[in-house]
Amino acid sequence: MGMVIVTENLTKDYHTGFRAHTIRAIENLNLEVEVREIFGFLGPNGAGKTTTIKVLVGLTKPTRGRAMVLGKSSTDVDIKKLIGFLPESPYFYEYLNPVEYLKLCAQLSGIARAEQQRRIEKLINLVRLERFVKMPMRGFSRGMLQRVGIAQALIHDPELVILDEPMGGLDPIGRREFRDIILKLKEQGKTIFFSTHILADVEMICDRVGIILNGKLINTGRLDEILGSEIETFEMVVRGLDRKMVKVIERISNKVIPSEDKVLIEVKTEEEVERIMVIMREVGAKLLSLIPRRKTLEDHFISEIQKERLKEI
Amino acid sequence: MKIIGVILNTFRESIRDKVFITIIIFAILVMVSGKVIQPLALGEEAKVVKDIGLNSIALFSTLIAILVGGRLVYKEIEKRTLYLIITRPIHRWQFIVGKYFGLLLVLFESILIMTCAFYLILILLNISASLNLLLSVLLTFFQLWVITAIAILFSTFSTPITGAVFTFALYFIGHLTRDLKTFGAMSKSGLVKTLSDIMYYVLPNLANFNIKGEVVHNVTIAPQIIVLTIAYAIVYSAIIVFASCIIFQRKDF
Repeated sequence: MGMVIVTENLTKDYHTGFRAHTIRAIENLNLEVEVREIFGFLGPNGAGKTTTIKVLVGLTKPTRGRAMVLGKSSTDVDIKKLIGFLPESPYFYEYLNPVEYLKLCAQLSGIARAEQQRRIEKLINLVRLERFVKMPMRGFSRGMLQRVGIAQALIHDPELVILDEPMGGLDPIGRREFRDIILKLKEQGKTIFFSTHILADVEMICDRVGIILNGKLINTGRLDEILGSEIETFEMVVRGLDRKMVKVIERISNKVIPSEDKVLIEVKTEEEVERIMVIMREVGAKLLSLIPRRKTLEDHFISEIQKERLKEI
Repeated sequence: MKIIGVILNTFRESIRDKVFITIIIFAILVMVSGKVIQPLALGEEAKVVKDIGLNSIALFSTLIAILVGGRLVYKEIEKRTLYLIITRPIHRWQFIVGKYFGLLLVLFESILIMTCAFYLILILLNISASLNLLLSVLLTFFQLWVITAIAILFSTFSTPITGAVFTFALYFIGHLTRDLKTFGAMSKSGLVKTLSDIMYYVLPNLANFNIKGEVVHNVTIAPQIIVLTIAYAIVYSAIIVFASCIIFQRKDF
């Protein structure tokens, strides 16, 4: 399968205070994104996600190593015809309305005048901004600006769409619509690379993910490979256990949380479930729910980050 | 043409800027004030009104160039609006050149409005409005080519206030560079002579653009002086815009 993004030993340093102090934002980053995949780029704040994206879209130049996008250097101007980009918390010319702004973007992307209007109308419908086309963007909410942002990223029908924290500031409906747009883009054969903090969204739509911490890529792979299909824990909710029985169960499970008349118990194996069921039958307690839990991306993300932090210590 | 997009957007941005509108209104008010001080003109009303008019056009258009031009690129960097412009298939130099000509278009429009107002005032006051005055306005416009280029150069790496202070300083020094050369020539120190020569050629020579006195007093100006001054403006501003493009090209965002 062809690679849309390839970075080799990508390193970026920033200098502050007359070059006296150097901050390494990313270090020896080796990343590959395949054609027609949705790639989620994860990491805590300050991990280097935005810097990586800035290098990929040519806003900043690497200190060392290289970043190739669609087979060409990320600093190549021509390659930008094939890239759609939405930065984190995008800012627009607030004196323009969405149509004027999209027209400017279309013009700068080299789209023929006759084609511009057709694309603008299509995108305005896609992002549902029909009611606000004549309104200057000065008065737009964060969600509305984000919609303009996705429209401008798609105005030139790019092959690769790079989105930096696209779900930030969106309400649940907006997030869902955004997810649908991303999935639709994948259906159209586009590659999507996006960074986010919202792991539930990644789990729902991404084919592969990469986790970055302190400027280094610490893990990358397919979601099913990373998360696996095995059950990690069982979560039981039981009613009718007295304090004495809770003490007994605490010897089997290390996570027992009593609340008013219920007890939440987490165990790791089926055998432990069986043992607790035996105790319950003896005292006449009632099982309200039994939920097998698989590993979530959040669990994986947190454990990877904890592992890395332990290594540093 | 991608660069046209940047020019027209800069034009649209600047004419919607309150600073621009305020300065134009103020300039016209100052021109009208020429009528008020007529009694003090001791029979030289026509010259006083023309002087005030031409100086207002020069001063207020320079203010627009410095105040609007000084913020032009800085604002794009600060507000990150340029992220979505220079990540399109457009060269960074096209962005700077587009911004430069966009502001020149704004200045052309403001000079046009102020000149129309000036001629209207002359007609209303029954003062002969010779076309000769337009020569001074033309050189004022070309002086703005230089000022705008300097304002944009500062805008690529400094804050609007710092940029405005330095551009104002260069504007005033630019009107004194001839004196600087004379001062150097009079000095006995070789170092002072060399330094004043370097400064004379490096700093903008703006005194040549000031022919207001001549046109008001109907002194004939040789056409080659006008042509050479315009050529100087084009070459000097091209060098400064080129320097701005190099700085902007090397910038990390």
